[in-house]
Amino acid sequence: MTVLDLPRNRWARVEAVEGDDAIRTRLLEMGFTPGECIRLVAASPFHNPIAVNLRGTVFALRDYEASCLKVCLMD
Amino acid sequence: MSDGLSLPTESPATASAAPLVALAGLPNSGKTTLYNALTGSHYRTVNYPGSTVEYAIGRGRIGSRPARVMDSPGITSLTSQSLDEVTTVRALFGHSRHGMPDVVVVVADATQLPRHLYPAMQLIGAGHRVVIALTMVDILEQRKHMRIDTAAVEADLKCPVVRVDGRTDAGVEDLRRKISESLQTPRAVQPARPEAPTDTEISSIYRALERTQSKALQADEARTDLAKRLSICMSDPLTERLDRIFLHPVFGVVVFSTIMTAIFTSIFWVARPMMDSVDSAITLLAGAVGAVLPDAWLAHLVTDGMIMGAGAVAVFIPQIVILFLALGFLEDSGYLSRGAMIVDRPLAAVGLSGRGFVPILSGFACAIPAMLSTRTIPSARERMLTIFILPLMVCSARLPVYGLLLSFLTPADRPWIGGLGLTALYLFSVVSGLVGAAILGRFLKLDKSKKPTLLLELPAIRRPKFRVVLTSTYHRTKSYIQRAGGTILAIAIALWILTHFPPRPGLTESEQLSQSIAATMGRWIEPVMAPMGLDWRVGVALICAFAAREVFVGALALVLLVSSGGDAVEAPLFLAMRQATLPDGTPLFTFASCLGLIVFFVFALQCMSTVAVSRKETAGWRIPALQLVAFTGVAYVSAVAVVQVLRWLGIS
Repeated sequence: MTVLDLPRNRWARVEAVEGDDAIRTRLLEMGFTPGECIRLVAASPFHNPIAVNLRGTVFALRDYEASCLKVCLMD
Repeated sequence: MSDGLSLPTESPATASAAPLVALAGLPNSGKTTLYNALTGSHYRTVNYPGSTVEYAIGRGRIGSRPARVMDSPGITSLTSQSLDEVTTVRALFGHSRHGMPDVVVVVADATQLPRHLYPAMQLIGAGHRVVIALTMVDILEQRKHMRIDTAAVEADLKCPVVRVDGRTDAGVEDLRRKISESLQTPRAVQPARPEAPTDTEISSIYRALERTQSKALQADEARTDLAKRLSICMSDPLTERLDRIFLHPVFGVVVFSTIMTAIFTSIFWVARPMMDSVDSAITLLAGAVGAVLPDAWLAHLVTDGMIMGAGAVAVFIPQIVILFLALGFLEDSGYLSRGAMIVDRPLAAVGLSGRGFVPILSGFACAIPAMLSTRTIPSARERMLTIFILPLMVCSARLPVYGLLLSFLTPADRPWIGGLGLTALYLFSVVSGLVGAAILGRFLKLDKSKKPTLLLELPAIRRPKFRVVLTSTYHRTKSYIQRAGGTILAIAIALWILTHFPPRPGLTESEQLSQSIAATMGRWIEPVMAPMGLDWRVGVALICAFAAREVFVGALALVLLVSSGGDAVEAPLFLAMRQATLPDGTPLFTFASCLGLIVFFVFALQCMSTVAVSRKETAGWRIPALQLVAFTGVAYVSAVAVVQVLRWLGIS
């Protein structure tokens, strides 16, 4: 699943970062590294953009960026 | 903020010897605030809402020596994407004029250590002397209930670490000492820009920084290890709580609209009493100066020409201050980027993004800094589209004009009509901007196939510091007055001369005016003005407004007051406007002609500085030429259409 499929306020873990070089490097350098905890905190109408929490920071992501982040839910 | 230790002047010889201290760090890390604390009040460039867009060099003191301090736009890493990041990375590895920085101070948010120390690791790896300045320690301690052990960070990164708060100046002396010590250490290699890191390299830097973080952060005794880990992953509790409202799909939009409406209506209402006092102060000044000056002719030039012309614009400074104050509060509280997320979707529909929100909002102050702030937009296509529509936003130069015309049209017993009218104009400028972007987007080929991105960081929400907001408002207003003031004064004098030459003794003032150079010029363009229901006098004011829009008010005051011989700014200007008639005896300023004028100002690109900046920022004449021709053409056609349709409907 990707960040787009996350239910609100459930913690997940980043498994892999995909996409072209530019977006992948950007996401990784911003701290979206595999293994990191991520949580959906808010979504605009139409689920785009969404706000996620990672490393104590809130980020706004469009659906394309969110779909580059493969995640799995934590229990 | 100024500690009186910054050096006022320095000779070129010491300037080149003074060490260069560069500040680097993520956006919202508190770099600019620290820069101001280090350089005192000696800052040269003004950074408009939406962060630093150009590097700034200021003078400060390190130890007993003078130093040059450089502030530059925020970066996530040394891999640059947007134009402002390119600027920073270039400056960090040897600026053509200022050379290689001797020390880089990495400003890092203590609540987000790995992300904020990432560029520090890259800079250390590149061979730079690095000093780390930790900010937001107050949030870490008070909201996240953790302490930070700076020694642990020092040990891991092998560079000095200082806690600072640029907003209260705490720790700034300590930072100066550490920088000074760092300057004494020899540099092993000449710093060189590293190559782009691989995915594994990025991940391993982050893993090392996470280990540093868990060593450096200590939770309060009562809290468990799990609580500590969780509080590292989460925002602080206040931000979490407020974001539930601010980013809510329904309430978020409600809060956003309320804030925007409050700002734009207060520009009209709250400013009113202040404007009245400025108005009477100017009238008093003109009276006093007129009484002192011996020569009647000179007195006339100074009072009617200079003081009244410039004063007609000074009256609107309260509105501009309110706008800058509001932007400052939104910026310092962290709400600005939440607003950007809210408007991303509607902006995306026309090819823009939430990153265009801050430039558009700054465009309500002035299109020039707004165009500069588009440098934070990574996509070249989006940046062009944003620059294109910025001149349509209701900038502060339009406020005097709208203020005058709306107050003129508003009945005294119903002042809310004026506020409503102004709100409508703000909304309309946004709508016309969106339409403009949509139209240009169809023809602009640049990067059409690239995926549009947002990837925006939303900073922690904080109670805005009044002093920080006041300082930035003061500097922004000052720079606005300095920029506009010269033009306004020059045009006021030129206009006074044009309306008083050639001098013909023995004529009444209005006869003199109707035979002046200005009248001759105005009559040339009268055929163009007639369809808008206006005459040559307004034409003269409109010509002057092409240098800068706000000049319109002063020019109109001059042209009309001279012809009616009045001597104060606003109330008599209204009187003169009511009395002014067209050659056929019908009133000049009717509902239709005023509305037509407003419509003209809505679209027309009447600011030569904007054209110049647009050319520079888009690196060509295509966009500015298009803006000039299209916007001004649309302005004229719609103004004529409004006036003619209203007349046809029987509304003069």
